[in-house]
Amino acid sequence: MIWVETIVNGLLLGGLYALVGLGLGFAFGVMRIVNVAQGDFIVAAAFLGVFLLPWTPVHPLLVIVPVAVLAFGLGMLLQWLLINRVLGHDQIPQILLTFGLAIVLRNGMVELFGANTRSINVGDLRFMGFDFVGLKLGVLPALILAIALFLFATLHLWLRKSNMGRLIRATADDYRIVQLSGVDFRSIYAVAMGLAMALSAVAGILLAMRGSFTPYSGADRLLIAFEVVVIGGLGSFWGMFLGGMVLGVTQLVALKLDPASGLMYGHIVFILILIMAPNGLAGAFRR
Amino acid sequence: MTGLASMRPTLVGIAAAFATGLVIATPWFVAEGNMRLMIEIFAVFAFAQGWNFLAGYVGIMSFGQQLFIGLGAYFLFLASNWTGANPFLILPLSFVFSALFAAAISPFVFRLRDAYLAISIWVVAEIVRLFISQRDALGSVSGLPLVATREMERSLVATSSFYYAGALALISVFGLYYLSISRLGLALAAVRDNEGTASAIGINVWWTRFFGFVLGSGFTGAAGAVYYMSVFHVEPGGAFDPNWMVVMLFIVIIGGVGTVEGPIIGTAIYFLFRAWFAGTGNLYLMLLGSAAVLVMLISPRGIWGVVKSKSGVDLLGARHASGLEAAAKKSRTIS
Amino acid sequence: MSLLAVESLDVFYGDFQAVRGVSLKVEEGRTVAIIGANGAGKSTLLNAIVGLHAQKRGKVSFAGADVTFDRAHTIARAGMTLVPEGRRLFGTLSVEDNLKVGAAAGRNGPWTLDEVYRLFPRIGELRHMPAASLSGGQQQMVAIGRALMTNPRILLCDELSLGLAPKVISDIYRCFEEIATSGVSIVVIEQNVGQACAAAQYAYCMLEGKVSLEGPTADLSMEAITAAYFGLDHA
Repeated sequence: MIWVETIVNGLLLGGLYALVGLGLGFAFGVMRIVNVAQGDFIVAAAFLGVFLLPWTPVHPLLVIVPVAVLAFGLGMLLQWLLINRVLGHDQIPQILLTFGLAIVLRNGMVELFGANTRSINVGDLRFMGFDFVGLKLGVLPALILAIALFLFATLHLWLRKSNMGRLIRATADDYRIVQLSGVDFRSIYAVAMGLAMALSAVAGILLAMRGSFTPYSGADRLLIAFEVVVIGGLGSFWGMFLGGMVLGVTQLVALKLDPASGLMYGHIVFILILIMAPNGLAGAFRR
Repeated sequence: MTGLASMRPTLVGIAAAFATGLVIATPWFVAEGNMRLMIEIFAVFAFAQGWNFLAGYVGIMSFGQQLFIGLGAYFLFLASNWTGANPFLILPLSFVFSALFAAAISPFVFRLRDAYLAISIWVVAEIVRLFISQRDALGSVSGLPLVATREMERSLVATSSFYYAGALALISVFGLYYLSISRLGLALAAVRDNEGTASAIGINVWWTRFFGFVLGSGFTGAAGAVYYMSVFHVEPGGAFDPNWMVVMLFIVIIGGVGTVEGPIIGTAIYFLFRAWFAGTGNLYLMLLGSAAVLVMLISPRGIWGVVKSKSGVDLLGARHASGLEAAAKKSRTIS
Repeated sequence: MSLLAVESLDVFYGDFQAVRGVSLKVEEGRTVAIIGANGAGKSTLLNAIVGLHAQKRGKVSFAGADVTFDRAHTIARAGMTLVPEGRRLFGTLSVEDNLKVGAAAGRNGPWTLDEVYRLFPRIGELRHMPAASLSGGQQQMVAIGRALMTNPRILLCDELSLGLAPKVISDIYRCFEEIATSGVSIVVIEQNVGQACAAAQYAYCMLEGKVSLEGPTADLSMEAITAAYFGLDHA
């Protein structure tokens, strides 16, 4: 029974991991851009959450709203001011640019806030539990999974149905040709990056509520996001969700067996999947 | 002009001989403390050139080259400690071990491209770091000493390490130059610039990239072994530290990726920055990061790329028009 | 004043010059053909005119304004768009979504979803299919429809007949009369001389990046066109 509980908890964690990957995967799907600074932005969002928490009315969980809005604006600025300037056939300049940003951001946070471990305090919610067919589960992890599912579904529907969603999909298909319809792909890219950052920011806040973070957590966050996207099959929407689940379950099972292993077994599973199904799990099923 | 250009390999050969003589003579008139600094500079320069070779000549960007620094160092320490052999004799095997490891991981990391390839190598580095951190036999988090050097004479150790580091630096400059004008160098350039065209003229793209990756990673492994041999101690947090990547990227980007000369400038700037700002801790790393961002925005070709295009000076004549340059052109014309 | 006026335009790909000093004019409501062999620089010329290609020299005026270095989306919003070579539909989007993207230019005019479906009834039946699943001819209709949805004042068409069956080509060209009567100026690029000249009132013939012959289609003899097309000396 304890193993079933571990696996179910892994699935709950996996939903959050999927959300961590969603921002990275979405940006890649639309723009073929990999924002290497995404992990450090996720941590920055958590810091922002810590500071906005005292001013958050009703419930601490609602801090995700202002942080997501700010992250959206920041993402647009990032795209307009920096990444749009180095777009081109070659990916190296934008990857190096975001790598440089990651270094600045990470060390800036150490400088400003110190290297201490922190978390976002959600009060009693963190310790509340419930019984589910005999399993003892946490309310917060379940709530987080629900939020992740909701965001996946909403983004999916919004891309299908809305005007802006249509333009984003068209731009993802062919950014040169959308211009012939009067669409400035740079603006679409800015919106997409804003969304990617907002999604990542929500993931960052939720991670900081479930667990803890330091200014150095960005690298691990980026690796999780990256593994979720690759396992999911580079841009496959629900594949990413599956990727998050795989990593979440792996990590919790591994921590039970070998408490000091950290993310190692998650990394190993990633490499194994890369060996056995190079197109990701989604690709493996499609074949 | 054409006369000079055709004589260039000969002139570079004379320069190489002169530089080699200089390195051989150094221990006689440089104090041991300064030699230690020079070992560090040479090793870091070799790390940077190893990455520059991959990114600028092979066309493989990696965010995980700290993997090979650590592997090379750990191989040397473990092999020497376990067999009791002289580490200076084992050192060349660090190259072989790192190269073999690179060969072993290429089949699956090469399934990814660009940033995904870059990060997947980083994932492998993390696995190895976490693995070593948990094994007492491998020294776990606190690391390993290099036992054999304890009984050796200090000055002999310093001089031997220096010669190895000097050799790495010489290979980083002249080896890279001769490689870039060799058959393999031309094949690498063709693959990097356009894989389709390269395979159309009969180059095996996969094997060329593979060979470049193995060679560059093996070299980084040897440099890692030299670096940690000279400090007598290695631990996983340091050897597999992603900040090594920050240093390599900074040096190569600032100097000019895809050039032999650029990273020399980059290394000089890096060590000057370090001397000036080392006390400021994180500010110093932020400075390195912002410099990388600025170079990408202003001139992706780096300092040497700009100097060359402005003045027409081209010392080694081996600059490869890197993909970055093409991208810089394109980003201006892209619509 | 011409709706579109191109004055001694040079277009480059790096060091290679694909278009050399081309000048041409298109009057409001007229149809103009640009003919020439593969590699004559026709597509490059159109891409440069609509702002998809930036390495150029010379002048492009549209409705009296200098648009030489305007970006493609600005030019499209001003009323000039292109049906690109090879159709270039958004393959993962449905037919209807492809057309709706065209409406993003935000220009008012006669062309709406219903009008496009009336012009091409077949694609109205396929409106919910992914664009990539359509046949070549149907895709070409969607591409034209998408361009019409921007309600252009001038429509540039790059090799509409490429890879299509003769029957399909004549169907598509038949629709052009109706598009022209709605007041839209049209420029067609073709390798197929007969098709292009039948549709147009005026024609330019391009050879190796230059205009080798021009004139009202009624006045151009087949011999003159053949000579200009292949670069034969006037024997």
